[in-house]
Amino acid sequence: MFELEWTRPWGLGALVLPLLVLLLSLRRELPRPLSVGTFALWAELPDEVGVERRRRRIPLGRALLLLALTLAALALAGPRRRSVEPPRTLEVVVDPSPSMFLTDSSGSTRLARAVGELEERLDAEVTLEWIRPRAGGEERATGAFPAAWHEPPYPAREGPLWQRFDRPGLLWLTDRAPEEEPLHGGLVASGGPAVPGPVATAGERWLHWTGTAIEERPGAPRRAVLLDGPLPEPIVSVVEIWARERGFALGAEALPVALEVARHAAGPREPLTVGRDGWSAEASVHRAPVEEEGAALETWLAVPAPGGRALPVVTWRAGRVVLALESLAEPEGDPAAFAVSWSELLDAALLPPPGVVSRTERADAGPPVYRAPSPASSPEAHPIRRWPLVSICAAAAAGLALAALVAGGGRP
Amino acid sequence: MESGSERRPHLPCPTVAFGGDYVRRLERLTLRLAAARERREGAGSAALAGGGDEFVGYRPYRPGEDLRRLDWDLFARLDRPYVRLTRREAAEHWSVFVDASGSMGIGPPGKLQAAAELAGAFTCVALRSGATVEVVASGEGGPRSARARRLTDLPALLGFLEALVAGGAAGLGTLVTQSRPPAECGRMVLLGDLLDLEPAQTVGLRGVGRELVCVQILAPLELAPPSSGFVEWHDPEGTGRLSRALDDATVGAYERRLEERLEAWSALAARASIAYAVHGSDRPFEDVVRSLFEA
Repeated sequence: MFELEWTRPWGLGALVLPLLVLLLSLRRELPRPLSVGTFALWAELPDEVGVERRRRRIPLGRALLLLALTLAALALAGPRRRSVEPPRTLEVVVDPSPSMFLTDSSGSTRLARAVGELEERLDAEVTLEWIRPRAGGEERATGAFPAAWHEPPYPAREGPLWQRFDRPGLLWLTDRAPEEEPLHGGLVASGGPAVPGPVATAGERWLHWTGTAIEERPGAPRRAVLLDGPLPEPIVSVVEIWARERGFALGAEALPVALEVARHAAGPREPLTVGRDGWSAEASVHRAPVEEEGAALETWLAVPAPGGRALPVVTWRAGRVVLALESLAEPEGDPAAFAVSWSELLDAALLPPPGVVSRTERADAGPPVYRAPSPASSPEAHPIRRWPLVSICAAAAAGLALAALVAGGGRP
Repeated sequence: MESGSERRPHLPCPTVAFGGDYVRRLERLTLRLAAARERREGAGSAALAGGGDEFVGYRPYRPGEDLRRLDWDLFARLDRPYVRLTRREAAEHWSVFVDASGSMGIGPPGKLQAAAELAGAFTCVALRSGATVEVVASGEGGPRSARARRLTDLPALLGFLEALVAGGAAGLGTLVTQSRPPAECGRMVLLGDLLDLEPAQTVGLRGVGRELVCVQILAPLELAPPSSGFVEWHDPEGTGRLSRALDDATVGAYERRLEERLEAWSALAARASIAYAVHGSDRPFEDVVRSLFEA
């Protein structure tokens, strides 16, 4: 199902030329008065020979010329097919990384500018399906861009693994073009200048990136580490020491959470020896979860289990550490190794305070980029689209003009 | 589509105008015909150049000639063969009938112009051979005629011809019924398009001891009409109008009808020993006269 549209509608004015030729052709067909002595012979001819009904016949050569001129005028006007197929759906993968929510001097975020750029370029008939990746899955929304998605997720998410989403009919929405641009999909990158701001905290001080250097500034919020459930004594000791050193309060729910250390006690319990980084201890363990609320947890401590499969004991993600330890004996070996090992885990799982964005994210995102995606349906599905109407008209006009020359050349 | 109209028909070439070299062309033609007559095997063998009984002289016999033409007395006296040269006594008076009806105003070149040039040529040939000539022309206002007895009368006769104007519906068919040639007329010439004259009408004109010459003159437009276009034919002798789209089929049908008519004339001429020729008005009169006299 197609509609015709013209890229140069003024070219249709050239149709005046074949119209004039047609009028002149008809005008020339007016009878030419001639006196003839053999009038009686002409009068004897039967009516069906040369009667007036044939007055408006246009010679073949001139008819071909008229057709050629008409097609040439149409080619000049640039006809093209406009698809009026049912509205298409375009999938848009939204980059949820912290840089998308940085506000520059214009007052808008890179995300808002990218969405605006996309909506300006797309036809109204296209339905947008928004996709926001998250750990272990993705969120979807159809129609207008979800207002809630303009708020930065907390904890912050990383950018998607773009190559998973490289297919026709899909478009990446981000702030800077990935190193490997999509082969089949499209791309909208807002670009934007560098945005100075906090890149980390040290206690109650901001580490502020000015665009060229990092300086300390006071005023960072004090945060707390929450201990959820009874935890083995050696671990509680390490967490308390670590929190004190880092400047966090313990168990103060009124403060923003920096880290939550939770106990997991579901399932069978097994006595095992656990350890890593130079320490070991006898423990009674459950199986730690590897996924919570759709978000994946990374295993930090596991022990071999019957059947050759590893049994996760400690898993974590940003802002949360889950311990499936019913009990833990006093660790053997170097006591410092135990403390350092756990401190590294707690540092890794530490949630940055709101407003902290890494310096890499705050860097200049470059110029805006737009690249339309390939159509969702392959060109082979509509082979006629591969033949541009302009070329067809122009070629037909040339052929007819040649035929008109040949046909007209044989007659005076 | 045929329709009537009160308007006078338009004739593209209704008048006659002899060119400045016409008389000189006539002299060249008559000299050439005389020379050709001398070269012929015998004056009597030509259709128009001789064959009468008047003795005009001798010439040597040539092998292959009809022995009946040999002068046996002379042969007996001189012991050399000679044949007699004669001039047809009946050729002492020629009547030239010219069609000056409206249809003769068709051209170019005008049919009446061609007929007048031929009439002048026939007159000149006749006067050169000692005959008298009467030219009779049809046209509006009835038949008109002029006589020439000797070569000095030729300018006046050419003036008569030059004053002719094509018009009216009276052609040769009317003229031969209104103006009969005198009894002593030995040669009668009809010049016109012969379109209003049935071939059978001419048989009675021939008479005893009289030769009849018919020259049918048609315009190029009538012999070969254009094969395309849209025309409105006008009847030059009436008010008829006829719209026709011309194409190969239409023109082919017309040409077949014209050919049938011309063939009817040829057939009659062959049967009745009439000298007949059809020519386009664009053909020089010298060619037409020579084709008739040297046939």
